[in-house]
Amino acid sequence: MLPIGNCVRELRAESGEMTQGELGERVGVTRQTIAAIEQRRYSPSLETAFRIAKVFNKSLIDVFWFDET
Amino acid sequence: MAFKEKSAWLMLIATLVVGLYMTYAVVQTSIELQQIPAVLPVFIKLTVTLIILSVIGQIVLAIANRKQAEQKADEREKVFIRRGQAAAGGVLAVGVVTSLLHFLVLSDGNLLFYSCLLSLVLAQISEYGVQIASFRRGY
Repeated sequence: MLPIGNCVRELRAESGEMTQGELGERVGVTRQTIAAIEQRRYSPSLETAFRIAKVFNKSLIDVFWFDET
Repeated sequence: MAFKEKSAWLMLIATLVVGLYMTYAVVQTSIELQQIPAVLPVFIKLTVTLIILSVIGQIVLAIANRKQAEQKADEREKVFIRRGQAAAGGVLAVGVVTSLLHFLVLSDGNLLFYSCLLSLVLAQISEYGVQIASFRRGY
């Protein structure tokens, strides 16, 4: 697992069960990339991270954090 | 499966089929004639077959996955593509240098041609193989 933690899956669920595909379409990445981000197998670029946070009307650090454990 | 991965699988299979056919044809003809066969007929067959397989395959893939096909590679897919290209570059470099070295020893132009062509085929197989491995692994 990569050291960038996130709560993207939880935020999707809170936003009326938004699918990975829908989120991917809104930020410009594939469904598979969103899945990889949620599973911490891929760290998004800064731009994509900001776009994801914007979709949920959150700040960047409310969605992503550094977690070395 | 992402569209880019499907495309990589298609190209891997097409390249493998054509590469194996080419290798078999050249080796078989070499055994029969006791010399390396002429390059042009094999090269033309290989090129035309690969083009037909890949173009038809990509068209069928695009029709079956229209929406995905219209999307450009996203940031993660671009990393996988670059990784594949880097692997291909390494394989091609090793293959061509090896081919040149054995030309210095054997001085057979046809053999040099086929060695370089095989290096190119192996490089393409490496490229698609690395891309697919990256897609399967997810990172």
